[in-house]
Amino acid sequence: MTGPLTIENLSVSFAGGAIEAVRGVSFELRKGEILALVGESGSGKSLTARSIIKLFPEGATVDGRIVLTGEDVLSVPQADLERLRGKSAAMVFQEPSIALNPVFTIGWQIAEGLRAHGMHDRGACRARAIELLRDVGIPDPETRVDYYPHQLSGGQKQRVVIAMALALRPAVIIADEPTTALDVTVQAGILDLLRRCRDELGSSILIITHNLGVVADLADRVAVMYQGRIVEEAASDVLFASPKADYTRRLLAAVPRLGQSVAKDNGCRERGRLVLEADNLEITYPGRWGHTAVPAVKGVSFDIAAGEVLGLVGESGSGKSTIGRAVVGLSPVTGGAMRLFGEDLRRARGKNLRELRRRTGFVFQDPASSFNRFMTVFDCIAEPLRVHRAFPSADALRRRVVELLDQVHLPREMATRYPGELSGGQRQRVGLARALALNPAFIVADEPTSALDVSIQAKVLEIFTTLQKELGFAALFISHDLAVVEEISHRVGVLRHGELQELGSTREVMTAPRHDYTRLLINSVPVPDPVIQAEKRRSAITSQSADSGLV
Amino acid sequence: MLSYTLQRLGALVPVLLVVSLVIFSLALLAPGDPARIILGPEALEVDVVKLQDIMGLNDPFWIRYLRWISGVVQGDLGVSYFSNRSVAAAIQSHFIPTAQLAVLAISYALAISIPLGTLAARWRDSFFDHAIAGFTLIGLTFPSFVLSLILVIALSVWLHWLPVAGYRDPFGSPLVGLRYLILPTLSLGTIYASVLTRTVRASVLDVLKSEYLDAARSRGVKENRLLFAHALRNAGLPIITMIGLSFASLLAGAVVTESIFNIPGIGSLLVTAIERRDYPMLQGVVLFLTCIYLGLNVIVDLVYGLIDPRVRLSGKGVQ
Repeated sequence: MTGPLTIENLSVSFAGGAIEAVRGVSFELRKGEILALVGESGSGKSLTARSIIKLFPEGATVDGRIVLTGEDVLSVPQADLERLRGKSAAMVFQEPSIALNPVFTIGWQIAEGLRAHGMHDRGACRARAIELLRDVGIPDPETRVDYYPHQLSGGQKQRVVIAMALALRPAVIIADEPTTALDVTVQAGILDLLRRCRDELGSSILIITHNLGVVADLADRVAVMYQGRIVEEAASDVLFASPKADYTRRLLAAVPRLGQSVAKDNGCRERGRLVLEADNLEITYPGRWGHTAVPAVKGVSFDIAAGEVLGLVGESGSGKSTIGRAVVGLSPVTGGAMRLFGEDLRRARGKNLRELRRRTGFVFQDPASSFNRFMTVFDCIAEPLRVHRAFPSADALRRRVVELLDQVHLPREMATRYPGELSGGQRQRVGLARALALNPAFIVADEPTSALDVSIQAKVLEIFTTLQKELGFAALFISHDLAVVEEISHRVGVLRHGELQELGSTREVMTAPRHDYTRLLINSVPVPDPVIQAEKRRSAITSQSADSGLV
Repeated sequence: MLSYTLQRLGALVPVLLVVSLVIFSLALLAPGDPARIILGPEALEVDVVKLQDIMGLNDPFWIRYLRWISGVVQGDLGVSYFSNRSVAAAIQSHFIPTAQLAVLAISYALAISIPLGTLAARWRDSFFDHAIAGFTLIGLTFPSFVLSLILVIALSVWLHWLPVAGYRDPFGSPLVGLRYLILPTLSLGTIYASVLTRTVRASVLDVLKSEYLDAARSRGVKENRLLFAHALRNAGLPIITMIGLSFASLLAGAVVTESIFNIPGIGSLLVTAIERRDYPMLQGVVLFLTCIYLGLNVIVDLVYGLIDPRVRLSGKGVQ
């Protein structure tokens, strides 16, 4: 029998065909199947997914055929399209916090989908909304149905988005990067939920993702997209075992794998001079008028020796970024002590503080927003040098900037371009060059690669590691990605709710974690190998009580 | 919500105190002696001094301020130097026509701007959108008195549909009263309609890019419902701010329109008070207008809370 969704020769272009985002994509989604559409940003995977319910950005030219439960989506009239949307195919969005309307209750929003398909009885809509919320694992749904989105956590919001997609039991669920915005321990729960949608409701799922761990965990079949084309399509285990297309091989090679990095020359490393010491560090954000203050970091102690990279892992809200920002004075140290190059940050003032800042570099998370878009790349990199009057002549300054561009493997011509004209990976390399400009002895890198694609991430990490070895700076490397931290750091600290759970050499923490939370964190990371991941899942299920069923 | 409201109102007390002090001292720092003005240029110096004593003008600044402010707190804004009327009564009688005009003008402006602005955003870059942009530009750049005069010539002088000027209380005879208010409403409201249409268009346009609208669309919600039920409320905050500001300036600053149409409003009261150096009147009117501004701001803040739950619930009940 034919599946609920067939796409034939789909092309999407912009600007009158000048930009071809999707070029002749064809595939079929079978009944009860989970198909993963994999690719990096700009590969056209999201656009393909959105085409299925005809949600195009403005100015798109579309060609081809999309047959959804027997009807051609691209040619049906608007009224039929509105009927198909939600009923035949429903979508789960990437970022739950922006996929929910902030000014309406979640119950109202679920009911809107039901009303659009002819269910007008208020009581029935509400009852169905509560039922759906219970199905997706929202605790106390009778109360939460009247909550507004901002009253829920990120994972709960994504469950609500899934509940909305399930409302009319669609034949096809399109999940566009459903776990990218979520923490890894929350991700595992959402992936389970999606699998149950297939197992218990028989829905076919098209999951769009860049995360090969997620693919290995969930998908039956994989289609790899590259530059608007599907370059390879195969059953999940086949694809991981013997990738055929060149691009797939490169993609698989770039994925950082937990527990497989080359063993580091750590542990026995001589830990002489300390660069950073945090002693019972407390950081509390002052409460707004009439509200209690919120402690973000509670009694955290660690130190970093010269030339050492300390990885700080944790989920959102764990306080890891707060610590990083405190080092450079962007968050206040309210208790305990933080000594940078032996100077207490709470006492440092004026010239001393300036000197500390000169010796510390900072790499920001999002390269898109951490540059002034009216400054050229040259000026961005030169800024710290100018601020600290580090170079006497314009000529010396220019030589230094060129040297930095070379170090991060960027062509010299880029100096005259603007950050907006660069790709994400190039921008982050500029960010690294800027942090290195003053030849700092210490660098704070706050999630420097989390906004990047895996292959680009691999390149940036490689540059970082090489430079770290060459220049010998110490670093505080903050990340939510265990595999990245493992690859980069000599020692690892695990944070949760502002407390340091575990601190030790990378090998110790990753292979023999002492703390339950660390173990949970490590186990939650899906392994980019379907065989191992399935094994892992089976052992997880046997150790867990069975979940409540879906309707 | 109640504690929030009280908190907001409580915060107004120091603001009002500072404002009252500024108002009181500004009037006294201005040149010109009220006693001399009352008695006229021919008055004898002895009489002037006598009157100054009677009026308490020779007392120290603080005494005079405290005397005035203690009256204000009790609802006594003083007595006009000229008409011997209580300032409060004068404000009351002059405020009614102004308030009627302001309510009519803002309602007219909203009735036009919300649908037009929303539809202009919906059909962005269409002919309709460009036409709206053109009209609002004309509305924004046109001086209100020119528009008033054109309307008077067209609707009253040529067509004889409406009275040229004047004011009749609409509560006395609604039809006649409203007929007198139509022209000033049109000339004032049109300008505010232009500003508001642009605000509505811009904020709706901003909301239309939101992912949650695509998400609702993906569940089969129809376009018109998306626009008017889902998007408009989100676009509300900037619009409400603009409405508050417009309404406040309508209440305070319709002087030109009021004088063209000969309406005995608060604007003409203020201008007369300034011309005559009628300090009690001047201080009373300015303080009253300040209260109106602040009050409207509080109302706008409270309406924010009604529209956006994140304002209402901030800090409470998260997770």
